Amino acid sequence: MTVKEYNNAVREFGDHIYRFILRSIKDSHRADDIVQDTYEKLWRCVTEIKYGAVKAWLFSTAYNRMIDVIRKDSRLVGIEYYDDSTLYAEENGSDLNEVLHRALERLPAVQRSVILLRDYEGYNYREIGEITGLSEAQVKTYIFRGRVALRNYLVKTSVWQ
Amino acid sequence: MDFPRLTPPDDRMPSDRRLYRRPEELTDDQFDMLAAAWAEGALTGEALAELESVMTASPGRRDRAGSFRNIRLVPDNESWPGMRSAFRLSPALTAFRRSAIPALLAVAAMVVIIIYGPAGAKLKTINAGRTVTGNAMTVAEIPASAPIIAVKRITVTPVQPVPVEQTPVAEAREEAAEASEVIRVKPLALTYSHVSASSVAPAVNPVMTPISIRDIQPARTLQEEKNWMFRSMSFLAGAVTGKEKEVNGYMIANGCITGINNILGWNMELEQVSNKSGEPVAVTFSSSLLSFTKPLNKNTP
Repeated sequence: MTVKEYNNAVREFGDHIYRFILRSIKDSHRADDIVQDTYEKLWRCVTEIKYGAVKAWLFSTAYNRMIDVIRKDSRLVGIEYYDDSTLYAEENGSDLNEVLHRALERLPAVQRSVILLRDYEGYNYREIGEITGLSEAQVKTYIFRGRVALRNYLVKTSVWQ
Repeated sequence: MDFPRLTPPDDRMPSDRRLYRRPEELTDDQFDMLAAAWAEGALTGEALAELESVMTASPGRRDRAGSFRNIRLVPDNESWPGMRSAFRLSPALTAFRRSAIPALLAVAAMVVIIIYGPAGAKLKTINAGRTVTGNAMTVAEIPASAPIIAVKRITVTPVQPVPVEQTPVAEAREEAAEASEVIRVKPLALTYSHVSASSVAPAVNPVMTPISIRDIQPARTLQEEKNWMFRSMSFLAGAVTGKEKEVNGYMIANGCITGINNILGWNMELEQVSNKSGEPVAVTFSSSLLSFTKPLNKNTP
């Protein structure tokens, strides 16, 4: 990959990766750090990576870095730690996409990531599996369960009757 | 040698019919998982046919499955704030940048020196205590120090005095020896297009009719232009902040450096060092390549 291609990768995929990480961990400073680290890593091995494979490489590297951060940070918890009574409150009158994103925050990190990769980036199950290190079957299961959880959230918050 | 082999008996489960299930018997949770897969387009063949049969049999479940199609996240327009710092320069550009840094630093240093030099101090004096008006400042109102363009020994006689205008600058002349005359001319007077030779000549050549320097009213001079810019900046700063804002040399130099930083992504800094009473005593410039501190004179703003 040339320097020009590297800069193209920054321009084209920087925002995508940032959104993916930001929505996964809900911390703009950490998301910025993770994306910076990812591009720093890309720059170190810029000559070894083909431009055609760089997007998946970036997502994969950013995802793994994010998982490291999540493991180190006990503040980030999954849906299983939330009390349902507070979980489903105050959603009336909100925009569906906003509510969905709030519901997404309640999902476990892996489920959240695979759904984001699917919806934001349109990756197929195999590509998501390559990025996250999961099997295709695991990816499918996580996505389907995630969708069910999101739907249940909408129903319980009265956004959907 | 043959070993005996067991042959399974043909036993039949008596109630196996009770274990069979129809698609309509799927629980809601099971149906939801299938519906989520269906909405994703991941169901094919028999699985798809079974789900469709359930949906056909139950309109409620059809709606339930249909709701999964609406569960799609749409990305917002968040943009990565640190993108700019991730860009890299090509080797050629890097080399250019390295060679350009000293040149631009020199320019920045020159700006600082000019602004903090005697000319800047005088301009500050001019701006202090003035209200902003639309009138352009006249030449004679600018008490900037003027270069000495000629020193001529002349004999001053009561018969033909030299009526040179008494300006603040001219006070220095009083200390000069009687027999010598120091002739100072405003910088603008050196602009040939605006000033005729006669405007500077009288004192040099007493025979010519003397003309006061006040008589010179150029339409646009360098000094006038400078003043106008200072006043405008001061006015704009006041308009933005809602306060009387006095523009000084530090503000302008700092603005230049901030502009260079913004354009080129550098990290140069200019700081004003103040004493305990809040009066500026020095200016510190720092960058990755060069750092220096310049003490300010007492009369420097």
